[in-house]
Amino acid sequence: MKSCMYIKIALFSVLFSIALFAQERAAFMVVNPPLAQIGQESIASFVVEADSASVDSVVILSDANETFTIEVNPKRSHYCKSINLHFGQNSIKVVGYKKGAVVKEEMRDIFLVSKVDKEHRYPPQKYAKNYFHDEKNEKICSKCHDMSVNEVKGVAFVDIKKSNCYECHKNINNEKHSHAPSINWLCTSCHNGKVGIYNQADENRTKYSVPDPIGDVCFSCHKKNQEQWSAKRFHHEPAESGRCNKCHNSHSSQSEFYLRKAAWELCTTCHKDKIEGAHVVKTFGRAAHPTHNVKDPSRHGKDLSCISCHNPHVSNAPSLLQSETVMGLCSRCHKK
Amino acid sequence: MKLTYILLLLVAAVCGGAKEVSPSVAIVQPEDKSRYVGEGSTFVIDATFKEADTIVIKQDNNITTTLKVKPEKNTYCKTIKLKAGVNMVSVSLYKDAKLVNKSDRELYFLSELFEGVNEEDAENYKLRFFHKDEKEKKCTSCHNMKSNIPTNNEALEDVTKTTCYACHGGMINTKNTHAPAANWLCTDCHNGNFGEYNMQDKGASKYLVADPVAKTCGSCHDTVDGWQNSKFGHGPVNDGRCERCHDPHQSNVKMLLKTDSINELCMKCHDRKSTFGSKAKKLFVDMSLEVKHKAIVEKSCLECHEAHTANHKSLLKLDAKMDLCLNCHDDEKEKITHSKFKHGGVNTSQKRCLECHDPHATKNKKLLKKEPVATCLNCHDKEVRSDEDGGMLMNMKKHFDENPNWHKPIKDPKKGCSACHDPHGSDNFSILRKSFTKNFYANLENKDFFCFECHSEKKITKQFIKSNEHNITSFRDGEVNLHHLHVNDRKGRSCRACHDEHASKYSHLIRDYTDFNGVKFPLRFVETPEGGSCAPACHKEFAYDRVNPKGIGK
Repeated sequence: MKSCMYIKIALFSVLFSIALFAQERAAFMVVNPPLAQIGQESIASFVVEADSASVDSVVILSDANETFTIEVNPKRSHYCKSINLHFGQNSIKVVGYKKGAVVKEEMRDIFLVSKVDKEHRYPPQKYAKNYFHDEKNEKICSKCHDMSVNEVKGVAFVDIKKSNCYECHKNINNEKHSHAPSINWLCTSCHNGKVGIYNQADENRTKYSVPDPIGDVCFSCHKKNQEQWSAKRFHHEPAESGRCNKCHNSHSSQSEFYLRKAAWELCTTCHKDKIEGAHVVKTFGRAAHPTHNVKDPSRHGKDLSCISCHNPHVSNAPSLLQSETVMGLCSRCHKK
Repeated sequence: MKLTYILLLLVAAVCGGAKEVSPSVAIVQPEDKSRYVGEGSTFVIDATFKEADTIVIKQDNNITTTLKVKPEKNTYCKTIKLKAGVNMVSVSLYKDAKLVNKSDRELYFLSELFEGVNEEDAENYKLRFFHKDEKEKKCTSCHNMKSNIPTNNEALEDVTKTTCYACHGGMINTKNTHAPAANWLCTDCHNGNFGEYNMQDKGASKYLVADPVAKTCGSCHDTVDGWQNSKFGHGPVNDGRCERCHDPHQSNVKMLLKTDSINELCMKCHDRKSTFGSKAKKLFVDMSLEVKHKAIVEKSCLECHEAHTANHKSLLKLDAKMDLCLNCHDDEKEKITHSKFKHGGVNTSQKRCLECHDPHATKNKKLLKKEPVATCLNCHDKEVRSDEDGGMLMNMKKHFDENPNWHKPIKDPKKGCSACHDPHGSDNFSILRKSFTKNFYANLENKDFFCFECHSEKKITKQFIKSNEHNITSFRDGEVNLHHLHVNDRKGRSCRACHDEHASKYSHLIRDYTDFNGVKFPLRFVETPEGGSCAPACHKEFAYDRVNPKGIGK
């Protein structure tokens, strides 16, 4: 009799746990991103599959306390949302609610890499690159989105909202300065599906890969730069190796020239030794020559920064100075 | 019996009226329905003084000739001057102011020199010849009908002594005369011979002239033989009918032309309305149009054309396509042959100069075949390959059709495309009359661009536009001159970055797309009552307002 009871309890608990498991499983599923993903852009697309029978709403909560709520309705199975990222590890929680009670929770870790900051340049080993635009994912999206490329080669959209890329990626151009091909949604002029020597691992992984180094793609428009630079003696390493996107954000940026940071901050990210001390010249009893935080007399309306004296790409002068002579350099600002 | 005879005579007189009452009162010459190739028609009238005292020849152009009938003479002759075409001539005989006889003659003077004359109509009239023995008999009572024209080509000292002179003396009375005619060596030409075109007249007259006459002319004029070697000949020359243009006797003008000027002569046949020379008519020239080629008006058709034979088509002195035109048009010659950039329309086209110009007369300035823009669109109504760089030039017709706002000079009927382009060639690309740039960016510092020929430089040089200077530009955000902002920079944009120099859907000739390194970016220009906005490749949407500035450039 007792054994019968045990059997009953055991059976019940098994059934209960199966039922519980089934319910939890059916509530929602994070289709994208995977558990630990390397992020390359400041936004991540979350795709959630949710069952309205077992979940009313799904809340995505970033570690910067941004929340996005998805109301689940019986007519839809998949929901998507773009989440803003910060550099480094982002822990994003996805929570399913039924009548106010939590039915399921999932975590997603995304490590947004920085091309300049050393501390964010190399993600921990658990993170992996994720390629969204594969057949399986696109099939899910195509219920709501046209997943074809509708860009006419060489002609920009009059109404950029007509671009099939726009709907999901619109936030990419939110910053003050936007690169023309990007703001005009000529995405495939750079996202040409090709790879370079630095990203051979991406080959055949996605239709929209961008070659690394990107230089040749950039030079296809910036032809003059290529001509002029090749004639110069000294080259800044990123420019030389064609990794323009190391300093420039090819989409949009708050900084001039689509720099990933304001010029002085960007340069000093690598050239940290120039932050402190008297970098240019210091005379007795007087303050050192400034390198930032004052107006640049040589560039009307702009602030003084490293690029006031240094050419960030090429120069015939050592230290990539903007002028080949000291007098020439100083007289850019000190006219008399 | 005698009374009856008198009565009968009276009745006959009353009933007969103006009928020919006696065979001795008659028009011997000409016969009714005669055709003439010369303007003189000699009337020979039989009349006896008993029956008539006055002969009145009345023409339908109201010219009346009166002859007195004398007792000693029964035959009267008079040459009247015919007008072109049909002539109705009546000959009336009067006795004591009473009409005794009247007879009509319908004659036709066929000459290509006059309008309204028609070879077909002339077919109804018969060419007749006077100088036959039976007719000459009539004349012998007064005239010596046996020719005394020297056959050795030595003219009589006193030409009035020639037998022909008495009747035909009126023929030679102008300052330009043909030597054989002036010297009354009539039979040099009037030799009684016939040619291939007047075989039917064989033996009709002792003084028949061979038709074609060229061989006869060639007996003196060696040039006629020389023409055989030329590639092209003038229709009448080919036919050997020198007399079509030249009067073999006399003329008011040099070269014994049948009209008072070369041009008039040519137009006798080469006019759309001409009733002569169906072949010549096909090669008609409409010289009634208002713009005429100066060479024709001030000189003559023979400036370009040969009258007789030539080695170039259309009897031209040089190759029609270019050489001929450039022979006079030195300025264009320099441009066409030495310009850095040449216009395919003139340098490599099929008709060369004549692709655009009519060599005679047109309705349009510069002798253009069509109106200025239409002339250009004749070829530029499709993509055409540029001689300049081998690239394809846009279909301008399509561009103009699709874009209703045209650049002002193009709309100007006097200028059209040639306001900016020199169709004959230029040292500036796109055969522009002055420098411009193909580039998106351009150094506008020297302001040597063509645009500033019409548009004020201040449009780009003045950074701020004060309230009294609003006419300089409307592209302002408050006082800030947005042209200056776009153009005066290390990376100054050229005018064509934003403006379409030809035509646009938008006002201010704003482009729909700007080409930046081969990619077409829409400008997304939107105009508002006091400003507008634009979202090109270069920046995000920026709005400007002349009254309530948005703060651009501050």
